[in-house]
Amino acid sequence: MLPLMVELVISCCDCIETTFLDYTNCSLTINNLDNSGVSPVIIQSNSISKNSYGIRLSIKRSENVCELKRTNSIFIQSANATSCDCPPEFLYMPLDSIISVKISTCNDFDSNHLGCSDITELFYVFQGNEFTVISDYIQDLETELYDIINPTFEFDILLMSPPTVGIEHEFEVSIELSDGRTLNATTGIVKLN
Amino acid sequence: MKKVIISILFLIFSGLLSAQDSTNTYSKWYIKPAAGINIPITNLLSNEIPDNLFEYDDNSYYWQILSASYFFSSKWGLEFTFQAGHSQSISGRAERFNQDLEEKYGENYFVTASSGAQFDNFSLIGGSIQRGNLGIVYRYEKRKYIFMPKLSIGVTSFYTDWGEADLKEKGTNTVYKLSYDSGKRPNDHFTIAPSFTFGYRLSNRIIANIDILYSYYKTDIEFVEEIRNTFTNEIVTETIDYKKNIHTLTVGFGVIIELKPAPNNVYTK
Repeated sequence: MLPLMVELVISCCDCIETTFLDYTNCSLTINNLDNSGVSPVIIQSNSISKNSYGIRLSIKRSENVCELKRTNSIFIQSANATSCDCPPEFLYMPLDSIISVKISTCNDFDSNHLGCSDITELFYVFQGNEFTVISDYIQDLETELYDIINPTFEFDILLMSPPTVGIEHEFEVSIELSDGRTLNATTGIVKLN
Repeated sequence: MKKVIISILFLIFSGLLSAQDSTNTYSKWYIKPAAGINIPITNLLSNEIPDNLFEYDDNSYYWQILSASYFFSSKWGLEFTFQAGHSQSISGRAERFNQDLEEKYGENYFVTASSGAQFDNFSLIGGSIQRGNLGIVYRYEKRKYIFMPKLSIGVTSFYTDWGEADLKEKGTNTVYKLSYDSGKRPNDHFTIAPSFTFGYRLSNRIIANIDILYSYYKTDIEFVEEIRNTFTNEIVTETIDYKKNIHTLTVGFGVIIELKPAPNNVYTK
């Protein structure tokens, strides 16, 4: 009984060693957004106002267990510390990271951006009603995760300079990863009125 | 202001206790519970959106839980009063703030508003508007009637809150952040308050009374309205001025309780 009591007391401040797991960025899907309302919503129609157009990027992540270490008690199967400043029980580390996001127009966009031009500079990440340059957002992205319950990472980019040439447009999004892979997706033809 | 009031109360009540032992030819201690209304002669609020961020209303009612007078002679004395004030409209100001923004911007923008007015600071002791006065009082008593002109100085105090809103332009990607801030929360104002009390003696210890008080203070409040375009970070500011001379008439009813009645009053003769 005594060893059990001692371990019970010690367990209050005996933190569980963090289990490190890995994840990887697997695939990219994109959807057209209509931001004419109170917040951006995915729209199935291919006709959207050019002043409220955006794209939602959804990156599917997959868990990849690399190492599993857990110190179990002899007497107590699960000693959960609640009163100490313990590190997280699980920490997911990325096997790869996003290096860059590039948006290209397939059609002529304006006098400075003809078909197949890079128009990344015209899109901004929209989060909490604030705008961030895409490269800054990628740089500040928190890549260590405490859980991976929702494996899809999403963020919205809004077009802040509408096209001046043509109505029908198609955009290609390319995400360059640190392991050399590139995730690509296209919006399909969308009419920006 | 609370520390000052507690110190004054300590002095008054320590004096009250010691006063019970001494014999006197005139009544030394009065306590004066009362309640009444504040009628504005000039208004602080001016039908602007930040009106809703004041924990204050020009028309209000008050209750005077703490009030005591000490007479150091048969005619002259000192009086301390603490009044807590409130108005029903103060309780509904968070909703009015949202409504006013919706009315002004709702046609072109989706308005998402929040403000410090959502958090109610009302207390039964302090109300929403606090007023503490200390002054000199003159007493004239004729049979059952008592007349007491007073001149007091003190502090009138109330809070102002922050307010903000996200204005999402309809049909575009443009978003503005709107904010209102006065830069300070408690606003204490030096106050001059001459007053007159008329009383009618109901019994040996109890005098019914009516209080008429005029007060003056000058506010030093201004709200800054800031509208920021969250994409371009362009900022437009406007100052909404609440620097005003506030004149108020206060009418209240209550009773004066004599802690130790004078041996020569109309009931003890």
